Amino acid sequence: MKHLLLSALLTLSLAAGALAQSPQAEVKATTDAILAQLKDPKVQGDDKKAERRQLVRAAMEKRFAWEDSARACLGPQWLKRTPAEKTEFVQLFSEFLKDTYSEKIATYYGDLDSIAYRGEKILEGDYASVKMVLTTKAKVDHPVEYRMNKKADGWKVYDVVIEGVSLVKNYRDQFDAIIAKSSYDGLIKEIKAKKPSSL
Amino acid sequence: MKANTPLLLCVLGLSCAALAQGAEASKALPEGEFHDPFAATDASKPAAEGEFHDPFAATDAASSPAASTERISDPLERLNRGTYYFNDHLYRWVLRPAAKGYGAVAPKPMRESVDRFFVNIKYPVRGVNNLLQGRFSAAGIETARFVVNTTVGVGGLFDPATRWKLKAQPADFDQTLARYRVPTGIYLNWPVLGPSSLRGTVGLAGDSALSPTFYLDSSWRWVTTGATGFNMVNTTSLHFEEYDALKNGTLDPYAALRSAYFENRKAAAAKKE
Repeated sequence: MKHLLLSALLTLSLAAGALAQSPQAEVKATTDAILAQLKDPKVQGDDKKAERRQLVRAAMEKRFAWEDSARACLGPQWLKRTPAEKTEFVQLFSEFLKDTYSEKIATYYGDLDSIAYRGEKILEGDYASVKMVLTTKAKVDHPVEYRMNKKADGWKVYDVVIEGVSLVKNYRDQFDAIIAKSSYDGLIKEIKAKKPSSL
Repeated sequence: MKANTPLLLCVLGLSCAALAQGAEASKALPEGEFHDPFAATDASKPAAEGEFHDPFAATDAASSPAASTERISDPLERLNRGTYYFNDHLYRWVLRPAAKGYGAVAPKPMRESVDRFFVNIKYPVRGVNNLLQGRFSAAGIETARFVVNTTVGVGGLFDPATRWKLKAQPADFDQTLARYRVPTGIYLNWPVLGPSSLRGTVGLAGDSALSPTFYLDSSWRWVTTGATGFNMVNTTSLHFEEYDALKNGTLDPYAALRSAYFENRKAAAAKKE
C-alpha cells in the first residue's frame, strides 16, 4: 500500500515535471532521443530504412498536435465540415504528413551536423515558438522554428517553419488552390490518391 | 560589355514601369488578384470561432517591412502553370539526367568545390546589397570572406572563412527592394529560372548586373552561357533529391512552390541582423 502510494506520488510528480518543462527543453529532448535512435548501428543502411521511418513516425505521433495542424491548414473550410469529415480529414492529413516526413528524415538524418537552439517565445500562455539552426555536414545553416500548443501532456507541435516557409501556410495555400479549382471532395480524393511510399 | 548596359537599363526601366502598374492594378482590380474564396487569411482579423487561432501568424505579418497584408497575386496563373509544366519536364528530361550522369563521374567533393567557386565569384551581389541595406558589418564580413576564400581558399574552391567564424551573409537585390518597401508585385514563373515576381525579376536583373561574368566581352558570351549551364547542372547534381522530395510532399506542387516563394522572400526581407 505504501509502495503504491509512493509510486502514485512519483508518477504525479513526474507528470508535473513534464508539464513544467520548457517548450525548448521538450523539443531538445525529443530531437536528441530520435537522433540517438536513428544513429543506432542496428538500423543503418538502405535496407533498414523502413525501421528508421517507423522510429520517426512514432516520435511524430507523440509530439504533434494533428488536429490543430489540420484545422490550421483548412482555415475557414474547417467550420463547414461535419464531425465525421473532420475526423476523416485529421486522419488522412496526419498519415500524409507522417509518410512524407518520415521518408525525408529517415533519408537525410546523416547529413545533419549539429543543432543550435536559439531560444523560445511564449504567446498567450499556451502557444510557444522554439527556434533553432540546423547545420549540415556541408556547413550550410537552415533556420527552423517549431510552433507548439500546450496540451495536458506537454507541448505539441502544430507547425514547422523552415527557411521562413511555414508548413501550415504552405498546405493551406495548396488546399485553397485545390478547393478553388474543384471542391473539398476533390481535395480528399487528391490526398487519398497520394500514397507515396507505404512502409 | 558596353552593349549590355543599355539593354539592362531598358529591362530595369520596363520592369519598374510594370511593377508600378502592377501595384496600381492590384489596388484597382481586386478581381485580378489570386482568387481566394475562403478569405479570412487576413492575419489582423481574429479567426472565426472554432477556426484554429494562431498568434504567431499575426506576428509574421507584422514583422514584414513590405505591406504586411500583402497577399499572393497571380493573375497570370494559367501562363505560369504552363511554365511550371515546362520547367518540370525540362528538369525531369534534361537537367536531372544530365546532373545524374555528371554526378556519377564527378566526385561529390569536386562538385561542392565547383558550387563554392560560383558562389564566391558572386561576391559583389552580396557585398553591394548588404551595403544598400545598411548592413555594414555584413558587407564587411562578406568582403573578408571573399578575400580569404579567393586566396587561402584557392580561388573560391574551398571555404576556410566559415571555419574562421566568418559566416556567409547572403543578400540580393530583391531583398534590398523589399527593405525599401517596394511591393512584391504579381507572381511570375519564368522558363528555366523558375519562381519569381515582378520585384524578383528586377532583383534578378540587378543581381546579374553585379555578377562579374556580365562584364565579359560579347565574344566571351559562349563561355558565360556555358558556365551558367554548367553551374545549373552542378547545382542540380547536389540537390536533385530535394526537388523530388518537394514533389512527393505536395498535393499541388505549383501552389506549393508559389506559396514557398512568397513566404521565403518575406522572411528574407524581415531578417534582422
